Amino acid sequence: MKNYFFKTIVTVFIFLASLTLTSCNFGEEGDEDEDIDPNKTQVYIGNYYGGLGDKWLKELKAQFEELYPDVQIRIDNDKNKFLRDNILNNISSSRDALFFVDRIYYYDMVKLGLLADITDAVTTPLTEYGEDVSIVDKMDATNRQYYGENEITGNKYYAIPTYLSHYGIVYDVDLFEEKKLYIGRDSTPGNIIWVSGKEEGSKSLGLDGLPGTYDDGLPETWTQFQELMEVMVQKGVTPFIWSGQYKEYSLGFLNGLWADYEGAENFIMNYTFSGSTLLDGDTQPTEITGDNAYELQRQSGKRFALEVAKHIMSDSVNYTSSSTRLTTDHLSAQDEFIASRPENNGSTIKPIAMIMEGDWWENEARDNGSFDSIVAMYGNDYAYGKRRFSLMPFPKTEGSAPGTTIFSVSGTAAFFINANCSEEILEIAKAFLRFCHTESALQIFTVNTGVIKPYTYTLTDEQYASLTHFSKTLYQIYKSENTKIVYDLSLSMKRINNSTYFGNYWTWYSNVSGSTYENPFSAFANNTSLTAKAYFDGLYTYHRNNWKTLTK
Amino acid sequence: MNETSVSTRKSRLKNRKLKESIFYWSLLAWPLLQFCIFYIGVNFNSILLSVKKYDYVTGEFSFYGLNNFKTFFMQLFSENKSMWFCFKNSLIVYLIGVFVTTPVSILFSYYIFKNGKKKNARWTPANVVAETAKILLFLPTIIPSIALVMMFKYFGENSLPELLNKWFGTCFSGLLSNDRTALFYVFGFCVLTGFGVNMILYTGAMSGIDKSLIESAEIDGVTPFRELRKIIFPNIYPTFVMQMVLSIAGFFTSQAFLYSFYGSGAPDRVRTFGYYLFVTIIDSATMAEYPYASAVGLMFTILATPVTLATKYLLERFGPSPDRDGRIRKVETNG
Amino acid sequence: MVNSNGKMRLKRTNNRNWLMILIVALILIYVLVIISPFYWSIITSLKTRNDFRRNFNFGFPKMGIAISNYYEALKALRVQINLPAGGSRYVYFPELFLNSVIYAFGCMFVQNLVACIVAYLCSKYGQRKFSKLIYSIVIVTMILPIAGSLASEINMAKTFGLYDSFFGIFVMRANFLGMNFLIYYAAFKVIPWDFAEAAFIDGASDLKVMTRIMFPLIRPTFLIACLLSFIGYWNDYYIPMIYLPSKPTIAYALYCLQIDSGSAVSSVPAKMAGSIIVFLPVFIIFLIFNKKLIGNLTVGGLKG
Repeated sequence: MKNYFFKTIVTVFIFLASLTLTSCNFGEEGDEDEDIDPNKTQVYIGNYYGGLGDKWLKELKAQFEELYPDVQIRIDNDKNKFLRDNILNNISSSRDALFFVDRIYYYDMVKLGLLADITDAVTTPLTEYGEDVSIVDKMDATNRQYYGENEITGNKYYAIPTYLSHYGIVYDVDLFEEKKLYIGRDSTPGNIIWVSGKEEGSKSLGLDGLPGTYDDGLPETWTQFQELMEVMVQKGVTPFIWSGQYKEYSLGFLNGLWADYEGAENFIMNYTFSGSTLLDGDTQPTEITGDNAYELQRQSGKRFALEVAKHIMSDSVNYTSSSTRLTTDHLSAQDEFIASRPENNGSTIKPIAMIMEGDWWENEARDNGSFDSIVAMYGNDYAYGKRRFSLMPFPKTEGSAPGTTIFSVSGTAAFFINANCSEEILEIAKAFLRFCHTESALQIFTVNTGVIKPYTYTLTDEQYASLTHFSKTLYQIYKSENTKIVYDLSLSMKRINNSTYFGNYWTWYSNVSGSTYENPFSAFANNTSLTAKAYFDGLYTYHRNNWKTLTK
Repeated sequence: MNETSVSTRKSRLKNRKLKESIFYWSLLAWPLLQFCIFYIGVNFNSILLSVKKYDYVTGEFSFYGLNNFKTFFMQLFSENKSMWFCFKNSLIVYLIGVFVTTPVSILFSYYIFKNGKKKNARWTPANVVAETAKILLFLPTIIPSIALVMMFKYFGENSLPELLNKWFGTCFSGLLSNDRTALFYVFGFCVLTGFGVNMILYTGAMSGIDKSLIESAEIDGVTPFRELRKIIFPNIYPTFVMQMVLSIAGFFTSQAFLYSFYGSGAPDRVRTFGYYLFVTIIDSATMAEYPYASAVGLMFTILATPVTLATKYLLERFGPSPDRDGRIRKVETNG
Repeated sequence: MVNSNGKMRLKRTNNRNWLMILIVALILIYVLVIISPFYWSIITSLKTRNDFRRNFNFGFPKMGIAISNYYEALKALRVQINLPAGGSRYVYFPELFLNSVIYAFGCMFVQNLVACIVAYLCSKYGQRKFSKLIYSIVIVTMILPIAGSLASEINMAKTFGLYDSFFGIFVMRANFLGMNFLIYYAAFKVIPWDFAEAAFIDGASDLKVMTRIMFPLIRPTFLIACLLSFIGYWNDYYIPMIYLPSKPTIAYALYCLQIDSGSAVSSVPAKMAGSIIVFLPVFIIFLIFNKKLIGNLTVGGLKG
């Protein structure tokens, strides 16, 4: 009896102790750093708090408030809240007047009247800031057409793009120098000389054929790329890592390869469903329309991308074991990539050369503390900004389009104003929107995030020098005349009416002998006898079978 | 006996019966109402839903005939093998339950029954093993399954492959991300977590066996195997039948913890019917998928019911009977 | 068998029979398999990120003990919910804990109370045909394999306004179906009715007999069944996820931590710390009450 009583008391105590946790504050709504100033007008901005952080926004906020002393900008940082499904459902009751977000259902939101008309704000020159061009003047034709110059929006603007990004191959420059993984200038076809690249002029010219650019010393062809991977393995380096939990990263890599092979003109047909193109194995071009667009699954760029994937997965030494794990999210992959250097005796991991990532990755890794944990052990030489990373151009093969084609995955990353705000707030919001697209503001964004905005602007030499090595590469690539950008934007009604299908299944869903695969990397890992050709043929089978079920 | 006292007694009895009826029915009112609405009503509504479709623009249901059933059959016989995988995996889960979890549970329960520590007795090594087994077998039932899944998931993806790589030198990928090992790992998890409840039921049934039977068998020098086969199992047979019958329902409803392991993204190759149904409903942002899910569930119920009843009949008909010498007899269970 | 001293000796074969050896071997395998992930989770939860990445997974922490993982996990255990008036907010650990307590306690109480009352009526008023009918209903509903009624149940819950409320879920759980009924039925069956008859003679009503005499006699069974129910509801995350979207529980928060791409923590040690935080309260309860919990709960078997 006594024992039972004692146990009951202990149990009650444990519960009470647990309840004392209720007195701890684990987080408050809207963690703002400053108090509300009752003498000012508050304007709330919803900021998708992902890889870009909010440092750039805070700087712009401070400058704007100096210009408009009666206004207090309050930043609402969140991630889940500003996912596109949540915005669609909640914007009408949100207190946020402006939004910087990763993705939206633009045309759905326009049709539902959820977005304010900002045509006047984006089409009139920014004269109050000393500029004689408008925001729209700084945009490229694709974005102008998608966001404003079309029938769906009635030739009005309800949002504007907010940043550019794509998935690519990020490599560790310091590791390449340390292990001599650059192609030397004296190399000949069939005999590659591997150099550290530290000496000026020692690296090959790269794809663009120009010295002193980001692609110096890097493989130009698929054959050279394969050889690089072999050399890496011989030198005790693991070539690749990616997130096994989220397939966007590995599929983004494949999409990038595919786009770069096809070139902008051919690749964009996947979004316009119009044009004429020569498909794999054909001798005559095929006319593409909305009725037969599944034929685009036979683009040769896809076959090439699958061959690359198959080659990587053909030997487990080509990638880290964590890449195929469901527990490796993107942050863990970045963590492992960064922490793989310096090499430590007794460590279980080898240095990793390349990661499949997006443009924002370095900021994301920094905010996640990935650099800090290594600095704590090995000092400031391994800090963010000191470590050097860069982008590797996708290798070319027979039939590849010349130049660099970037497939931007941030077409619908947008800046817009809530239709449900008062006139006073709307005017202030428009003023802030205009302010955020001045030359100076665009520069601030890039300097703070390392990511480029899809507008015409340039950084000063000083600003450029302040970027990390990786950000400099991005800047060079996007600003290069040899680079063509293809956006994941479409005005095709077939795509708009079947957004789930085209968003999830269109790129890599394949039907091979009755089995459906959604990710080539996991398919090749799980089924070693599956060939790239079989997977490629299965793409056509899957989408041809499903095409009739789509809404017109 | 005078008439007054007889009539008084009668009226008292009548009064008593009335009060008893009022008491009985008033307490049963809510449970019966709840049963009518949330069992009968729900299942009736399920049948109605199966012949409807949902318009997410107007938010209303309308009659759709048998089209939901047609859609299911089209999926079943399409080029896509996903339904075939569901069937195969559901069958594996069921067979594992019948041929692995149940027999091993009985063995564990038998050991605990024989070697559990008696009051005031001294500890023996067998007692230690039995008591430890009791706690550890029940532990997965107590711990939140999601916490257990998380531990096993990260263990199987991160730690175990590293250990195997270290021992065998070859490269093992995560046990869940590899289609070949994912099934084994998930279903193995189901086995491990299935012992707890079984152990309670079987040890409870065993403790109801007449002790004199067991003692006399021990005096005669019966081996554990013979004791288990001739005495224990026949006497726990009703509990065994109950478990077998209940597991048939699990064929179409068991998710095998797939949602906990994979969320909505389990690969086709590891899916079961229960998971497929569950995800169809959960993933639906509106009620658009509810009619289809109801139709599929109805078909599963129609298929499973005769199998369940047949299993019950066969197990009871051909189950253990009293031994020739009459010493072994079925123990009447409660109820 | 009689030995040389004239005393009775039990004729026993060697008890270390192959069957027992086999069972012990199986138990040892089981113990190893079940303990390993626990061990690994606990030591991983105490490692720093660098330690986890760079050193052998199974080893003890080599770069210090990172208790901060638990604090990080506690902060990361959160669920975002939509507000009725629009917008959204996060629900953190204290509120998750409170929701879990309300949900588990409430469901446990209503379900056990209703099952207990109905079982009492069926076992002690068994002469009534309706009692036999109810017993059959319980058995039949346990046997009948109903699949796919979830959609219908959700639809009905929304129709009756029971969706997304604690009251609603309590109403839906207040039934007499399931194993608990059989447990209570078996418990009441063995209690002699003489106590009740003596009370009736003294003028007690049926209600008094039930509440003052019969229920106290099955108190240990009731408490254990309640404890098991409570643990079951505390651990469940499916039902709160489906029926209580704006009242998330701790178990659901842990699910989000594991699956959600927007998860606030990505480090594996912190995630393991999260899983340990969630399982610890129930584990402590289990250690305290394990003898009672794993006691002999007898269930009336299916007969006929």
